[in-house]
Amino acid sequence: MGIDTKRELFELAVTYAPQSFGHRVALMELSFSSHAFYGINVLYNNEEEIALWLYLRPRPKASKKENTEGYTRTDLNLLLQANIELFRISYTGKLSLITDYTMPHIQLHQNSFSLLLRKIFTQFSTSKTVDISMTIKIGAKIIIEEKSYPLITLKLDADHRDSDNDKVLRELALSNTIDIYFEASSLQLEIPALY
Amino acid sequence: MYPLADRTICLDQPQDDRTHRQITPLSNTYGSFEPYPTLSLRILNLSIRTFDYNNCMKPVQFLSNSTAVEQIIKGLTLTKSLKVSSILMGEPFTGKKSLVESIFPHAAYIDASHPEALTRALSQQEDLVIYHFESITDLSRYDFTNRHIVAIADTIKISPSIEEKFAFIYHMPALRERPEDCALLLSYFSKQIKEELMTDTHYEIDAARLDLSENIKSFKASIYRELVTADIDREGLEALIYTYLYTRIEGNNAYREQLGLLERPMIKAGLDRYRSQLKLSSVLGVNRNTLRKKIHEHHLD
Repeated sequence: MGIDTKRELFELAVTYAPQSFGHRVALMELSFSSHAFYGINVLYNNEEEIALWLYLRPRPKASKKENTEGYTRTDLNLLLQANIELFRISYTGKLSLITDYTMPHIQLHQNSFSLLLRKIFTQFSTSKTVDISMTIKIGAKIIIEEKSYPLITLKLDADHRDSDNDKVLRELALSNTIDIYFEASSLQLEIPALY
Repeated sequence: MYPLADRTICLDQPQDDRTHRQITPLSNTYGSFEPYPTLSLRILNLSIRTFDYNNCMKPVQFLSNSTAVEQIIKGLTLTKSLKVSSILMGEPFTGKKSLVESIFPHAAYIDASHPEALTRALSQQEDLVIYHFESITDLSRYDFTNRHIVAIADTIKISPSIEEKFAFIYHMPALRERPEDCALLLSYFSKQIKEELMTDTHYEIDAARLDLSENIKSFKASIYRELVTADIDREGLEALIYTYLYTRIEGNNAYREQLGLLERPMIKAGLDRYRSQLKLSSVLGVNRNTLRKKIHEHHLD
């Protein structure tokens, strides 16, 4: 979930710990990037260790029919690479990419998704470094019309992000059936691997 | 679709049709394909068939040492197999169409200044290059969904409609922003033009004197001018001036009006060569004050 959350989780555990050995459950709304939780359970039975359980909120079922008009079978790595090359024309900072080149091809509206990526990259045009990672999210699935699809996570992490057009990005992502999560200097896309 | 289609011939087909056609050189613009020799194919005993431009184009060579251009080529090449829309914008005569031709020699090319033809092409083709894109006034009329579109526009202004329609927007830098390409093109065009003029002059062109105001168009024209005038003798120069003046000496003050034609370049060349008005006045055999007056009159100060 990120290095910064360790401190936050420790503070949470210490705050909601029971007064003596044992456990305590607390209901609350928590979210870290794309992970949403509805409660925690703090446990300890000695002075050395404390455990924290987080209860994951299930992802809501997509109720409407997903519009896949104009979708074609896409090599996501190729599309991402093309957009990175476009970004590199004007970007002078350091850029790194970690991706899974064995990722299967998925159904995607190539032009619309590229438009989204182009607008996302403009948010990082003044950053000194941008780290891009794209992986299949292990253990996570999305249910669309009774069918389950894996999720692909695309994350961009930088020292600085221009968040002026977050609303536009959210709408564009939504039109592509993609979830987008914003942090101060990073953002994350969750792309359903439609096939 | 392409205007030169009816004059384009391919030479790579097996012998099955003994049609005799005269081949004419194709337009020799920057980065365009090599000209076919003008000769009779029957003599060479080759069979030919006429193809349209899109089927038989020789690979186009695009010359550039520029990093920016290299990135554009890389980006366009990566999107070759994708159903995305790209636009390449820039000043006129920067080589945009030649660059696209070198990457997509087999795509269908359509002129956007013919809206009906464009609409028809969009309904028939999935892989399309649209040039003169700046002539389109209503972009919403065209659907680029699920097609590989490359648009070429002689403009540097991005409108909101272009922002929304095109996933990939590239800017072709002007020639003055690519000094590395100026040197490369100077060498290429000099060789080409010397061959055309059938001259073997060793005249070295000063790149600083070349005109980049209209990119390749003015650049190539100024190389032509430099090479044509490099070996010009007095007689040739007189003939040039005669031709120029013949249609221009009129009115009742033509002598004074046209005198600058000789005075200005003489004084300018002298100042560049001797760097001293005193020395130049001595060389020209005129009074220093007269020379100063002439310099001011011809705005050379």
